[in-house]
Amino acid sequence: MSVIRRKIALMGCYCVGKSSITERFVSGNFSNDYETTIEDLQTKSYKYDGKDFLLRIMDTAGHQQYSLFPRSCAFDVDGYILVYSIDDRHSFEIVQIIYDKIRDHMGDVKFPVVLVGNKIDLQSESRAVTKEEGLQLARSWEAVFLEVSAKDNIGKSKNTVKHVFEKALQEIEMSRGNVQRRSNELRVQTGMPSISAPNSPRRKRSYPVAGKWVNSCNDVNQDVDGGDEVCENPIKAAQWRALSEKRNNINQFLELHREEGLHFYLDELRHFATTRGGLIDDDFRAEIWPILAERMVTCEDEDCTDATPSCTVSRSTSGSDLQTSDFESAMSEMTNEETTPIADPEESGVDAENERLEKLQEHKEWRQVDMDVQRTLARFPPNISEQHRTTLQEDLTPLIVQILSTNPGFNYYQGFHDVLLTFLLVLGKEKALKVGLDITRSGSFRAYLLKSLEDSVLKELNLVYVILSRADPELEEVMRSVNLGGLFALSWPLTWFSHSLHNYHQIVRCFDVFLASHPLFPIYVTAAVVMYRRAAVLSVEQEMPFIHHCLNTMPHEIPVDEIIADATYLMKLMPPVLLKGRYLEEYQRNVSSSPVKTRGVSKLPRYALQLAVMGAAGAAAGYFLLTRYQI
Amino acid sequence: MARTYDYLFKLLLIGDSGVGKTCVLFRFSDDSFNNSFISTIGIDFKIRTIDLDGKKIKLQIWDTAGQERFRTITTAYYRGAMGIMLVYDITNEKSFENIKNWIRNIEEHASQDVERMIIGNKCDMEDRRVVSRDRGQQLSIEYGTKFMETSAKLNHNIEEAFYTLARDIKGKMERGQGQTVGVGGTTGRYQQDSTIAAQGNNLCKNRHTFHCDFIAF
Repeated sequence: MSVIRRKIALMGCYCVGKSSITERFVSGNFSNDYETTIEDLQTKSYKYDGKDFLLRIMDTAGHQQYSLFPRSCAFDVDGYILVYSIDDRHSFEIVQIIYDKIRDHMGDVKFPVVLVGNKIDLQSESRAVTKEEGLQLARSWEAVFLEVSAKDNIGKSKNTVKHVFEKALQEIEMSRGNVQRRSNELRVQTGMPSISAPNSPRRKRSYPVAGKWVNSCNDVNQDVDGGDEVCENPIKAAQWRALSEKRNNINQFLELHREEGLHFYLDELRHFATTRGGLIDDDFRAEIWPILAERMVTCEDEDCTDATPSCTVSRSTSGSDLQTSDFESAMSEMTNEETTPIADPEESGVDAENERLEKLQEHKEWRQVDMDVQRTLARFPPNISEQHRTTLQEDLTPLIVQILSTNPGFNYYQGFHDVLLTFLLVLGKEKALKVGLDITRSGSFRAYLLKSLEDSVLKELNLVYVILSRADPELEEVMRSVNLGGLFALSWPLTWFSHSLHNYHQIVRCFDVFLASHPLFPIYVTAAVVMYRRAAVLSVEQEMPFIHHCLNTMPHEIPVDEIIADATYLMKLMPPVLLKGRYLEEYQRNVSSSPVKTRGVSKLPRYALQLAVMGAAGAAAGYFLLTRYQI
Repeated sequence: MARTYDYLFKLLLIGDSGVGKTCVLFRFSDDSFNNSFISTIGIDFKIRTIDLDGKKIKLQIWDTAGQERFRTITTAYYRGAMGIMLVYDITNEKSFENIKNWIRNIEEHASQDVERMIIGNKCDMEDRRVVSRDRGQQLSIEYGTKFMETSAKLNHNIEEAFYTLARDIKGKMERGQGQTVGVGGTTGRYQQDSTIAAQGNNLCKNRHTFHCDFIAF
């Protein structure tokens, strides 16, 4: 008989006992020791309902600082077991959030889910969630509910860990129509109006501005959709009003000054872009981004001059490390580029367009770029049609290669395509090309394309340690002591966070502020993200792999606006000139004079006091940010 | 949860960009495959615990960016690896030829006794094959490594590949242990690891860690 394969994901807050439940089921053991799970897949053969099943059980990372709904739980999972601990109220709230995440991912489709209240062995001592509450929640989900103890797995026959998995399996098979519901079913019945809360209809996202798909991604619209929530939550309502007001302000501003030329109002535009909510609407972005890109903030100090040479200088210096043949072909492409500045597909005929395309296809990086572009599926907003997506992907490769071919010294790196994809999504291809050319004329992207990554982005990422050493010395010391390096954040500055953030509107919000800020601003944002994840970093095992993995995984729920505000604050305290100059030197001196101790010997950073004296402002920053996140 | 394993093995996947390293890893760690993978920037790992001859072995498998530009960055992670899978794409000649370069990278940066294995991925795409099985086999003989053709898409040979690599490491480790009793030192790395595992002190700081030197200015 063939074996039926089913995959079940266990999710829930940390410390609720997901691994204990899994372990109890898979091997029959229980241990009181605790080890944080990162993510594990266990398998067990199981006979149920006369059939042979191969159960693959995914034991997920429960720490809420990890993503609540990781990618791995989004694919191929047949059913979910959501676990909370009856002695932990917070864990009960977390399962509700996780459930919403799954539902958001699944759309309207009902999915098999079992809600489990674990640790009933503690019920006489410290029960914090009543059985009725669990039951009620499960009822609102139309889910099965069980209370168990992975520790004392002896309860009545209906209350064992085995049953959790059997119920999950039953739900899965039922949802597939393989099993009929039995009459004495334990499953929580729905439609009992006297007890269960009314089933709120699943929110349909409606987009007020029809016609352009991009509008669906606007921040305000997102909040508008949460109509009920806005009413319920006064803070959300206030935020929403503030954003609406800002949207009106921007709109009025644009209408007032559009004719005389918006580029005269760079300060105002930058202000809109950097303050709360950013540019809010993709229509505004399409108008304002090109202006910001044309006049990017440049480095004021000489350290950056090598990254912002005039075109001729960079060509002659960087040409030396190129193969002659590459250099020549690239030169010829470049000449071509100069004579026909930006090809307008409407004016140049189809032949010319094809010829241009063929030329680009000969570029040494075409293949790599195209391969990466083919792998951008996950980056498109969910509401975009497949046809539109394909067209955009077809436009993206030539767009990138055209930018690369403007300078023979440009070496494509994976991730540059993420940046250009963002521009393409917001601006359309003509404007995206212009903006792409502008942002590679100076600043960080130029350095990433011209220099080795060690000489560009990793050097920048080292500055994160300088920032942290002043704002949060304890965290910095932990990271340094395990030799973490900067690789966990490699894609953040390289792609302006577009590779790692999960939502489109988070990404464009970052782009707003990066287009209007100092080239090093992404580094301050990197530091702010690390500080935001402080609790998670300090709670995982203090070894390089675990801290790397923890930071490398960007949480879904990251509050981008708050992070940007923090980064702005950090930049005010430690302006780029000082950061790259005096502060860096001081940091290097401190590190070399007090080499890091073995982890665990002392929690007190050796030079914390020294630093506090040197820069009271830095300590203040640490305190400010700390208290903020602890609230 | 308690220490749920007897040994911890650190593995590394390397190979050209687009050969399917991430897909191979996801197939093994999550048993899933989808076409919407994005290119890997930098490095990260996934974990899966397997049963091998009565021992629970936790595999920490690192997936790396394949593009040339990231190569020197990722070599810093070679040193901690106990097993390395070199992956090429059977429909891409260049990725096969580059295996030589990847091997050279390993020789320069990984530890001497690292277990190696060559994987020809995408063997579901027979119609587009350009690298014959024989050539893959030949190359692996040349370098004295195991060889397998896999398909992450069809889940062909993926489990086998990882189990084989894990078994080889385990074998080498246990042999090493046998020898080191009373001799001491020669296979200290494994010795240390397994001793620690036996003590249940899986947080021990002395276990060899991955080194990376980027903080040094």
